[in-house]
Amino acid sequence: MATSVLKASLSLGICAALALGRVQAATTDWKHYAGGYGKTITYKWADVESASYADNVDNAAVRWNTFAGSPVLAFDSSHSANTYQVGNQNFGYTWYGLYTPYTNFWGRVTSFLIQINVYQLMLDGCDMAAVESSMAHEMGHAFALGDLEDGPQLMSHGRNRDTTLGPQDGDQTGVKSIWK
Amino acid sequence: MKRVRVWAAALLAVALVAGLVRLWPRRVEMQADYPHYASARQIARRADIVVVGRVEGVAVRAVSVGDKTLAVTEASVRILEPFKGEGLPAVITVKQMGGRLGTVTYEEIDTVPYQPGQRLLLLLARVGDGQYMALNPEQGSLPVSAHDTVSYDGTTYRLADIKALMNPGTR
Repeated sequence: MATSVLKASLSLGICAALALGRVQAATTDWKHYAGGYGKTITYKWADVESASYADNVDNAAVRWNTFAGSPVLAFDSSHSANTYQVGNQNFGYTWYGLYTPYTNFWGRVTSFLIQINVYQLMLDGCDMAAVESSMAHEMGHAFALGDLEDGPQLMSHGRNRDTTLGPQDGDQTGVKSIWK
Repeated sequence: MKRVRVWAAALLAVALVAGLVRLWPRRVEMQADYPHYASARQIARRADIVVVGRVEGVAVRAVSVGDKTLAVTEASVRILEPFKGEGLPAVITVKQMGGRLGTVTYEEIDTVPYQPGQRLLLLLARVGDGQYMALNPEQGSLPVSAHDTVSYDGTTYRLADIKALMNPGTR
């Protein structure tokens, strides 16, 4: 009993700490990632459970599509070569989100897989805002943005996941620079 | 007759090039979003088990997701010293993203691939029946030096220091 109470409080503590964010200066505001797909991305659902999160993923896409001067576009399409999986079942992994590109012989990215691990996020006491933050973060990789360690950007591991739901100044500058 | 030979040679050349293209090794970089732990104490307390172990072998498994395939490495790790966790077997399976499938090597940018012989301090979450995974590839899978120390976010700790973190009474 005492162990489960301790574990639950630790889980809540972890997400609270993540939500508060760590106050450290960002060394860079954005980073290019060679495994990106393009300025326009489409995706289809991996399974029925994934499709039940369509509204949340759409929210993430809209945040990318509609910031001032956005050069990028994301939308779902059943004919897409790209796959989006969102699940609250146990995937058996500790990551919150994963982006896997698939390339041809010349190294050109021909499709991608995005996975969101709602089970692990909920296990750490996160809410749906943090889930949507992860959804938008993984889309950032498809738009050729790389991970950052610290800072307030969407692409930062240390971001406030409860309030950073869409691209921030650095993320926006990044995609504008890459896709100008 | 000469024309037939020329065409046959051309077709053979095309087939050879196509074959080489398929066999040519490629590297693909994955990106994962993990929770970042503010301190060694925080990740040690979040971990289901904490052990010092030696990698005995690795195998790569292809996992299907819709029409895509994901490379997952499974390492057999012999437990040398358990710091946290009860009733652990002598050998556990620790999963890691990436690995080589055919001619393509998938790598997660922050992950150092497990290799037989490595001695590691592992801060793990239980992710399935008898299966574990580092809570964070950089912070939860730390090579142990010959002097029994590990580096966590740039700070060097003795294994004894990490073990002491498991004691709730330790500050």
